Amino acid sequence: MSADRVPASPSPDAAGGPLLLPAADTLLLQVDHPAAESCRAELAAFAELESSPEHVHTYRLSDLGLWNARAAGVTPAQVADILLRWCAGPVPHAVLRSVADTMDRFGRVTIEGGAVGWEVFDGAVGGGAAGEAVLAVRTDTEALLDELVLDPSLGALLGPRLDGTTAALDPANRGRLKQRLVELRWPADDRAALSPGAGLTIGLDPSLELRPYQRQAVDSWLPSGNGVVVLPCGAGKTVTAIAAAAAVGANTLVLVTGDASLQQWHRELTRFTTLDPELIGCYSARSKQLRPVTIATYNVLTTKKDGRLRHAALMEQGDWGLVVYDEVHLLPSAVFGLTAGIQARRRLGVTATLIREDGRQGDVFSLIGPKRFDVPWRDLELQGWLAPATCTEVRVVPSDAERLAHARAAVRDKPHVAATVGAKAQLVGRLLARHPGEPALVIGTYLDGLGPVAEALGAPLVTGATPTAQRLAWFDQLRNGELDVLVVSKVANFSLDLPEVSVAVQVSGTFGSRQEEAQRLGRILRPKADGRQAHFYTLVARDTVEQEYAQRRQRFLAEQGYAYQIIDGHEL
Amino acid sequence: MREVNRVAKLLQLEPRDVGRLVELCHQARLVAPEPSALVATDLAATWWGLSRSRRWLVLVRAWLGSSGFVSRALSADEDGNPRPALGDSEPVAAAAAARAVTLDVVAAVPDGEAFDPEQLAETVVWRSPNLWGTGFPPPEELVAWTLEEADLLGLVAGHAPVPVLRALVAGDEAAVESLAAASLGVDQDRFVLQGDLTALALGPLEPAVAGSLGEVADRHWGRSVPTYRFTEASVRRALDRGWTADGIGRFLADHALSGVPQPLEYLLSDVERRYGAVRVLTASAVIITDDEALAVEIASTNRAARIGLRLVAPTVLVGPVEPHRLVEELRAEGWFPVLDGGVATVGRAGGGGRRGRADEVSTPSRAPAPDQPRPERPRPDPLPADWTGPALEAAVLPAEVADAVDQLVTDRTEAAATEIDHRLHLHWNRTTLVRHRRDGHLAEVRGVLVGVDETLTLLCDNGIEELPLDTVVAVEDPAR
Repeated sequence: MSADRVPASPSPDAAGGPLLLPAADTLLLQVDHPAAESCRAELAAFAELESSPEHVHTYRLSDLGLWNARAAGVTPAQVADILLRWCAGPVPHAVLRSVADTMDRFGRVTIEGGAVGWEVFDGAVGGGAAGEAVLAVRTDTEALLDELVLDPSLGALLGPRLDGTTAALDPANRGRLKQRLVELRWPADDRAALSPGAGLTIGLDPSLELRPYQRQAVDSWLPSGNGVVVLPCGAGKTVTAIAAAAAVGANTLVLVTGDASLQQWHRELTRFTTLDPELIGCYSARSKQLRPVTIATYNVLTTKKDGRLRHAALMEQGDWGLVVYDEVHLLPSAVFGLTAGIQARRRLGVTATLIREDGRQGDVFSLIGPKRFDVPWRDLELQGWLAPATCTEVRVVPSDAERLAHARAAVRDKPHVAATVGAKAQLVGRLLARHPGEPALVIGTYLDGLGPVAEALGAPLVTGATPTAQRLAWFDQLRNGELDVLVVSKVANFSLDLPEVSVAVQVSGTFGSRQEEAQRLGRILRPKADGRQAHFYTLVARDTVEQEYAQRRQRFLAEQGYAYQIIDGHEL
Repeated sequence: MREVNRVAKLLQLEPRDVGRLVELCHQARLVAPEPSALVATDLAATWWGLSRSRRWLVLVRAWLGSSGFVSRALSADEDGNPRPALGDSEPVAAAAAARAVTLDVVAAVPDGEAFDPEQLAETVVWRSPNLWGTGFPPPEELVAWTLEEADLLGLVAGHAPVPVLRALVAGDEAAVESLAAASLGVDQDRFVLQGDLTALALGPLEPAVAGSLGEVADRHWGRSVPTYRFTEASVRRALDRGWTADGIGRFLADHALSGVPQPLEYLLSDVERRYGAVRVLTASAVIITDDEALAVEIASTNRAARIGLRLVAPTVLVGPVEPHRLVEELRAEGWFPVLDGGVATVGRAGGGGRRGRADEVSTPSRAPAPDQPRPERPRPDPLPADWTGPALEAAVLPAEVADAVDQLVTDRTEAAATEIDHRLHLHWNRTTLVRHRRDGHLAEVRGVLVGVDETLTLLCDNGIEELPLDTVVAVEDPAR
């Protein structure tokens, strides 16, 4: 089997544009078409990229995508123009009609502040006592408001009618009303003012230079104070969110997916802001620090005791001027419920994809807000912000004894047995020999597997137990070229910032989630000064649990557009 | 109707559309009703082989000449009940003529203008007043049906004629063919294979290609564009159907626009490598021998070849014959097998030759194996002599289980209980007769022995019996 076979490009439909419209809700972009790049840039405004493997990218034409576009000021005529210009064949009239109809539904219902007693909001968050009408729902026609009032579940959320096209709204119902409106396909344009929150000066460290697209993302989000910023892995989502927090200048609550993320946020906040570390707190299963800037895990927020969320009050304490939702596409459903209750606070979602496995994109739209900024990965790669990377899976054949040990191991021990297959140690050396002179990292989860690797390579081994001073010294040596390779355990690899490392070999992984994998890839493989390609190798023991994990990872990485190859260890 | 609903769900269509399609296929003689089923005709196979535009034309021409109305299928009758999907096409003598007049009028609608269906019906009736006799459905209804059906076939769209309709009415065959081919496109025999292990068709696939692709990859219907995903399961299924990994690779290479991605090649070879690593075979009887040489001896006889015995492990043979017959066959060859459920055991006593004495080789014995002498143990609470003696030896329990029971009865340790439990799992479902003391009398219980610890647990006809060990007098084979 040839590993280096280069597939021929599919011949694009030269007669027409690069876009196919095989069904009313699906657009296929032929990547190899000469006009594909121009078309992609325009599509991003209103269509959601669903998968982007090497030849044909699939875009979804959904209600939410079209409403996001409308919220960003794109008109139905512009969308029609884009479709007509780029589609290879005729665009059915019905599709154009449906696009226009869908887009026109956004903004016909608005939520506004100040109908009655608006000043209540001024300076006191949530100060509007329950039941007091401080917000108003406005429709563009009386008939539409009639329709909304007549919907049983929506009618119950609305307050008394103030005139033909206006009804009062209890602030407590703001989130649920917006959710219901999206279900009814009448997405609300929420223009009501937001709470300023308790003021806090968050200065950015002078060493932090925001990239132009990061600045653009903050500028696009700031005026509305709600919504989602979509940036690909490795594009600096955390830094962008920190810049947004600095621009807001208020107490900030950051919600993250897990402990690893929490640590990363803590480090980046400490490093990139002038905040006194005392002002930054971590709120997780382990520690419960409530500080002006608090990072909390979704997990702790959704912990229940006696059927009640134990830490739900966190959302209300701290007088947050901004709530950041990291990896918003992974938001647990219970957090939506809590988010519905804080619609008067600024909300920023950051993610690499808006597509949720559970299909709750509508809740992200209604409760956190529309997409405010999106930059396609390919653009960042072309501009040199992301290094082009290839992922290679290297198959290692375990010995018969190792296979037997794997077969006999309990389910929870199998990953460990697979991770420590003996042949891996020699392969690492052969892989590194393919990239002479390039700084490399060897990463692993299990120390007993890493020891032999470090020994075989004659390279230092950094583990959680390595003293910080020693660790930093080795990192420095790798940076200035005194060391070619460093072997690091999983515990140690989080604090890495080694932009020039262009080769990473993963000896064993935890394979917790596909996103985590892509993030690790994005973080380690930063753009190189000489523009050289980054290589990410993963050693996979054949016919073990590792191969099952590898298949999932392969699908995810290929969908994300990474080149993915498999080679047999004995071919090296 | 239930069938129609099922098909509608499968195809994500309205039931009424399914009815109309079935009727249309019936008009084109692609399906024929049989007493309890609707079957595809021979014509259907030929039809599938045509190009898309030709297939469409066949339907259109059948429709033009038909005396039935597709729209009647599953539409509401006078009482509001749905008409059947087939068989309600009461012939309307003038149907074809009425259809022709209607299409004529529609084709005359100027470019860029839409017609009003009611006005159009009036024009049609006015144009051919002789066509509408008594007893017919009202002319307005016939016109409405015609328009609905023309819409279904794509001859009108949005109350306006499409170019191919004008060509059809004008009888311009060449224009009809070229317009149909242009608007329907041609079936493709190529698809795109991508690194995320999907295949994507950029247009409709030729039926044969789509069929083969569907065999080797899972088709996802959830989306409106058919995508196919290759998984271990889909490739294994294809191998089950007789594909080989090479064959799949060749099929993909022949039809992929972009070559076969390397990870997909790996998936194919991975699955093929593991395919058949575990084999399941059917056997009516199993022979287990004491040692490997004996098994080889049995396997090498002519008789073994004749009755189809196969050596599947060093001491295990299987065969396609009934256990009782197998025992007879083995006996005829001079061995002394014992029937043990579905398993015939053939032993070798004291290193004796193959033609040993029956009692030496056949009876499961609780005597300790010569190389593992069992130490004598004091028996703290000796049971009656008939319990420890012949009763157990004669029981159908295999020797090793009998041994363990005996040991448990002797020393009643937890380790012995665990051991016996373990052994019983290997041999557990045998009917046993247990004699025990109950209220000072000797009683018998017959049941399947399923557990031994402080009690003997038996599954009896009337439930579970638990007999405390110290009441048990004997455990016997009920057949004796």
